[in-house]
Amino acid sequence: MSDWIIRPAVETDLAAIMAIEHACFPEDAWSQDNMRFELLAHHTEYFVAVRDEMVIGYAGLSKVPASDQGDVQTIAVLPAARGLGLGRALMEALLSAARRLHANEIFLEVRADNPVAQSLYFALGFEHIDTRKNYYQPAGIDAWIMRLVMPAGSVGREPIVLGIESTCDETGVGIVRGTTLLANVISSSMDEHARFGGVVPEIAARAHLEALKPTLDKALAEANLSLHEIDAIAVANGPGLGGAVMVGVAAAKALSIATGKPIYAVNHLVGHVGVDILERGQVETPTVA
Amino acid sequence: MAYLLAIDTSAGTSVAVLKDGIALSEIEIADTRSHTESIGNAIESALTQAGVKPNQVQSVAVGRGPAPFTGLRVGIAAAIMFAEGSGAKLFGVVSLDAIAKQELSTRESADGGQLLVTSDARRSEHYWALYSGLDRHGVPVCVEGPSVNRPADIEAMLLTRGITAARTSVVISARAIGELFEAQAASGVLSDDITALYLRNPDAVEPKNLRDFGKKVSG
Ligand SMILES: [Zn+2]
Repeated sequence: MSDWIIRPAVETDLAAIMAIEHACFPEDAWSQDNMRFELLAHHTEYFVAVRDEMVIGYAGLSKVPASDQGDVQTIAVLPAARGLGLGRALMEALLSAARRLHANEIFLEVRADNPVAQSLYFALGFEHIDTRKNYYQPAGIDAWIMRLVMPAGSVGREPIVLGIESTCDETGVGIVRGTTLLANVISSSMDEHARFGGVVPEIAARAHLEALKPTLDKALAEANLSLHEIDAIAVANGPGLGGAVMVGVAAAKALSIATGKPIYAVNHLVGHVGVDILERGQVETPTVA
Repeated sequence: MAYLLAIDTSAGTSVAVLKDGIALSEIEIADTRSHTESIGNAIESALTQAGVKPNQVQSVAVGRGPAPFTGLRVGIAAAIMFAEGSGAKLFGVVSLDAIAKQELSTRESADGGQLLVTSDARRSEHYWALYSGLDRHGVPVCVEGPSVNRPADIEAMLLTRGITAARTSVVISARAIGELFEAQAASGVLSDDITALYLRNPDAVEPKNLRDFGKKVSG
């Protein structure tokens, strides 16, 4: 049985989600229009669990920017796919989104006659703070109101991205959290090129290979982070000297596979513009990088 | 579970996952100009086909060549960073040695003669190394090289020294790297030297007068 993945929901998931909605909530399923609105609203984050290209579960969070409270809107897993930890994985996706959106309190309602779901929520740190009588109609089942107060320090953690640059004669490893620079280590082979009067591609590429590990280790130390705390890897995939770019890209790909972190390619010139925007807030146009 | 990830990009892109010297998966991409494009999928497919997760890989063995430049570095860079990300230990294997082991272990006896392993070094030259046979752990004994010369000069050298050697130029594979790693482990001669064997200096000519040269490339 192959693994499932959790990914953000998109509009084309709507039909699959509605099929599960009716299977799981025969008496009080949302309408398709309601569900579409939920999926596409700005203040919501919806995720789906997918296995063999089939949506087998979904969950949604609502969090308006002005408030620091979020609400679990819904969570549902196909009966055939239960017992695999999907419920927990979907909830963790919601909680991580909530943290990223600076919510420090999360609320949800659960049927009083659903101990399985309740034990999951207790395990995630929710507390039962209130009960609504006859909340679920037409069956007249009570609803538990549960709340999770986010642990201090976990709120608003912006993504930590590790960047690798090797397009010319400098091997660079940078680490940012959101737009805060945590480390920027450069190892240059410039002086090896001096006597040739210009950058010799082969010398640069050989230097990149040797500089890879030391530069990465120094950057992680400077940022006081381990590789597992990195959320994503970005690598400059050109323009640049072919042999040099290859070293950085091969390194980034292997790092991404080994750590299971997503990898993104970045155009070196876009990086230049990005730096200006970060430092000066904006860049006059037209501008040439 | 001692899983080994073996990587070699001294020719094409070759990745294999082995356990106790047995290949569980092998990915071979012959193209010698698509190492960077192929290395990510090659590692990922080798792991999935073997049913091994990155953090289960205990060792990484990478071919050090000799090979003509750019492609060689892709495998080594990937090996360095895979080890860094997975926590696996990193080892280097001379690719010509791995070819020698394949060839010598398929022969009943090395009939006393030596084995010359060659591979294309471009510019009408060959990388070569001379082997006298396998030691009792199956590790090839290199008596000369690796080096890079024109084929005619290699032949002349063998002739003048009265050496008769069988020849092979079998293409390297990650499985061969893994099998040699296993033999080296058994005889305690594993090496963590993963420097690339270029055997040639970068072809860069120092200009006569440096006065009018500045750093040409902006950062
Ligand atoms: Zn630049």
